[in-house]
Amino acid sequence: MQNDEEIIRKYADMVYRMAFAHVRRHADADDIFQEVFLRYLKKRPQFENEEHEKRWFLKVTTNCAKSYLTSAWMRYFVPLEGEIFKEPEENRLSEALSQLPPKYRDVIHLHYYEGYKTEEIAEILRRKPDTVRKQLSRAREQLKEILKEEFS
Amino acid sequence: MKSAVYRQMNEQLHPNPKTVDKLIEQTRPQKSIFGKFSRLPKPARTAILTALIVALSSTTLTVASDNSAEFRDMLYSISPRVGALFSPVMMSDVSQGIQMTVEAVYINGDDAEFIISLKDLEGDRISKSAGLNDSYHIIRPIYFDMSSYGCAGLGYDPETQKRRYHIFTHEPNAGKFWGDTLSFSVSEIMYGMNFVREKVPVPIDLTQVDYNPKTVSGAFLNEKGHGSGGTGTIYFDEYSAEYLVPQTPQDFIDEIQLTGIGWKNGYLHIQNCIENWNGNSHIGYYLVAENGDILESFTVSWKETSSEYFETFFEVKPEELKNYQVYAEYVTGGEILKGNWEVKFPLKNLE
Repeated sequence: MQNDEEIIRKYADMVYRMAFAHVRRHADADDIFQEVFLRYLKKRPQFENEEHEKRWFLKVTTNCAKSYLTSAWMRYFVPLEGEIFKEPEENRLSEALSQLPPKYRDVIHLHYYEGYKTEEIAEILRRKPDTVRKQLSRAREQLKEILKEEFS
Repeated sequence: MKSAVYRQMNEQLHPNPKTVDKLIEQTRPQKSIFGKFSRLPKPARTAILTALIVALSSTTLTVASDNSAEFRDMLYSISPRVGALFSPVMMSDVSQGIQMTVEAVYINGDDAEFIISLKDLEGDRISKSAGLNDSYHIIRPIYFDMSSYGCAGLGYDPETQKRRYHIFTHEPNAGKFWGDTLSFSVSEIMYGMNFVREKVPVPIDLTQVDYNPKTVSGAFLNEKGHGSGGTGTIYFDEYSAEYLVPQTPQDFIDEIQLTGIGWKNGYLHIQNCIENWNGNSHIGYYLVAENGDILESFTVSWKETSSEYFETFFEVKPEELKNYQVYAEYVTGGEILKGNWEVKFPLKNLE
């Protein structure tokens, strides 16, 4: 049985990276990170297995990120952060990702970083598999257009 | 561009270790943090906490002002955290007959928090429902963007006729540029709202739901500024959802009108409209079961000419609807008073 500290340490990076994928700003990702774990501590859900636990955190992170990005104050003003990664190529990709709708960034992250298949992403995000497939395909096309390079 | 680059980028991302530690601290029993400490006299607690703060933080700033025990007690009455961390300011400005006072401040790294109060010197416009209409700003030598901020009401004191607020702001890298003075300003005060913050039953009959409502695809949201938010852990993709086609508005609560209620694709939809929306009025719904359980919901709002529409979605089966009663919380009415309230105060670095 894992205690709360072990759970937080286990999923800290994953939650933070999912939040960052959606909002693309450290300050906002930090806020969402806290909100996700505060919800966990408040709700203390029972998980059937480790995969269920992991997907709960991913789902709640996208949920919190979405609410955060559409909250009243974020609608007024969202300044962009400057270069945040080590390599120029990484910063170029990061800038290109910032130009995509957040819903596309979610599927990109779950597919390319967390390694989930379309059906699994659909289950996590509660979207139809067809919708996820289209979003992934459009996200790739838009990135390709922005970067004028292949994203595969 | 390779997907390996995306992975490599993400490997560089980690949450702030202090945030992780703070969260972990919350999982530990409170007794181990406060224990005997909470039984000490208040002045002793203040002294110990102040010393701890100075010792632990290299970026904390305070204002150069008196720190009387009486005022400190008032801050403690707001919360132990405010009493321990905030520095008194107590500087005021008056505009339009309303006095705005910056009572206390806590600046730590990139975060700034304020306790401010409003008092009507000429009438009774300031009551428990008065608000700042998101019109507060921080002015300092280098422009402060307030990339995220929020305001929480701290209640109305009928004795002093003051309405207090706790304002918190965050701006990345702000901690490097605080300077010697700080100004806090407010440009709009909203008053006269009708706040119903406790869930009240509303006249929506769930046995009369339309099971074949006319709907439109959520794709229309792509062309509009819109907002959305959910309760609990529900995730909802507003772009893939269907929305009710608004019906003839029916008077509902104050200026809030009901424009549709229907069930489609697994969701109960309740749609409202507010004409000539002032940015403040809104309504939140709850489906409450007999045993008190509340069903999670998701609300999407968008603007259509001068009206704001709100559609709330509940994931519920038709046969389960009879088990629920609809409750709501809402804010209606309100007038905006424009003015110029600004308080400038000195900062003293505790480094």
